[in-house]
Amino acid sequence: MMLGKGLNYSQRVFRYYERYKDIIPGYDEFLSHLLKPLPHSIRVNTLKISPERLIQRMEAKGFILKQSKLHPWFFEVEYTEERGLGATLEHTLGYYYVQEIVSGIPPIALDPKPWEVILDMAAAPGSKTTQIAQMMGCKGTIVANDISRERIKALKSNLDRLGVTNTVITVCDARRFRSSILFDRILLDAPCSSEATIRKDPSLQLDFSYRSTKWFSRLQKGMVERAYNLLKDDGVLVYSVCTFAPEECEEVVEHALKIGFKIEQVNIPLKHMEGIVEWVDEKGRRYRFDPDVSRSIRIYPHFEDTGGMFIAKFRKV
Amino acid sequence: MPSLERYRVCSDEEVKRILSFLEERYGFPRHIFEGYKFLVRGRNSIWVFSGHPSILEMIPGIDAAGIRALHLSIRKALKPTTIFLQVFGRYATKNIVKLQNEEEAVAFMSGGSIARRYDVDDGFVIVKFGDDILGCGFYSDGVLKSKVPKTSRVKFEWFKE
Ligand SMILES: C[S@@+](CC[C@H](N)C(=O)[O-])C[C@H]1O[C@@H](n2cnc3c(N)ncnc32)[C@H](O)[C@@H]1O
Repeated sequence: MMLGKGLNYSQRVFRYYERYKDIIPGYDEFLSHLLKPLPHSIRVNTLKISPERLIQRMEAKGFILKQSKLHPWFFEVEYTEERGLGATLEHTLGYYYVQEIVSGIPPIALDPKPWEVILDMAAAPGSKTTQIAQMMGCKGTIVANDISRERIKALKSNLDRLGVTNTVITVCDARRFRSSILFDRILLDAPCSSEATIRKDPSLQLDFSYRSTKWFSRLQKGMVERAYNLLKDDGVLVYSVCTFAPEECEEVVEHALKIGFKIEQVNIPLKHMEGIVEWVDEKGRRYRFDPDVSRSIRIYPHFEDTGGMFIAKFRKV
Repeated sequence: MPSLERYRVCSDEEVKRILSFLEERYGFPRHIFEGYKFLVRGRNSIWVFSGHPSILEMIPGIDAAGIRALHLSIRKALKPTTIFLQVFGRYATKNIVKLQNEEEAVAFMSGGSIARRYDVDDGFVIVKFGDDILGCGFYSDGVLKSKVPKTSRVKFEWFKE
């Protein structure tokens, strides 16, 4: 049974996120941002066009592009055009990808280099895979994996549209991913409760009587363990999730530390918070994490008018 | 899970034939494909891949590699794919059709045909509009047919003012 019948949308949202009121600074502002639509944003596909040329073309069609603080490939876009960003010739030809600003952070933290071999463990629909390919100039190799055949279709069409030539696709449970080579870098943009995507997707099912965070946490830890075994010595893992739940964030980071990963600092030009080291959940359960988890990054919607995101970077030493 | 045929890296002989075809038909200089491997899977398709080809041996169950580049048509003519042309087409020098206005571009990108004489050889051609490579068309007897697959088509409404 769904509790909270009779509550309106914003009351349900507030009730759902209440468990975070002690860890999120500026909590009221945080709540009010959850109800606001997300600004539109794109990433220019520099495999096909320069940012300058794309700006010219889009502005001629009435779109207004403003470069994001995050990275010169990212732009916030304003328009009144109701057909939107998915229905332009430029989109069809793969000159840009409609991507949330915060979604651009994990590949930047991963910092892939040309000629490396990269694994993207949960890749579909490929926002980050295509960004990684772009960072490598399609030199070197990306293995893009996902468990869902349906979502793999979207990944393929995005790779085709953006003209990515250095990727191979596999379809399996990442916890059972098999390979006879080890990777230089692995991105684990893990399946999660997706709580931090509510601005992009206001229809997100928020049931505060049942939370899936523990279930996801176990899955994420299993994936982190597999990542460890698939990495070269000195290899890099970036772990990201779009949720605020410490069970899926710091608790997974702590697990990564336990199995031997070292955590590294991530530097990004957007306002953020450190990972939390202490938390009490709604049932009064107290969590105390390894102090090193504070080197991970929490991004909240009200800091830079974005979605939310959690990122941690590790090295296998 | 459907069992997939494996990719195989083209032999030197096969690569030679592919490069000759691309050069003779479209004027692609050979050197632009340095750093790329041509792969085959099945009888009818050739793929182009810029990753390490050894990956194909080292990971089981590869579902796709690189982008599909060429396809053997029913009439046994080699057809470059739209996605391949969108990546490499700017290096081509012949058998290129330049569309004259936005209406033609719309028609082409929605899968339609354009009746007009072009100074190209019959068969598969590269279609451009302004700076943009739109994709692959089939030209014969004064009619240009779009070969842009459904997945790469533009939503028609975009152009309707
Ligand atoms: C957050 S989404 C990934 C988004 C993607 N990285 C992007 O940037 O476009 C998480 C993905 O994990 C996939 N997934 C869920 N369980 C998985 C598993 N056990 N192994 C591999 N992928 C899994 C889902 O199908 C989903 O596509």
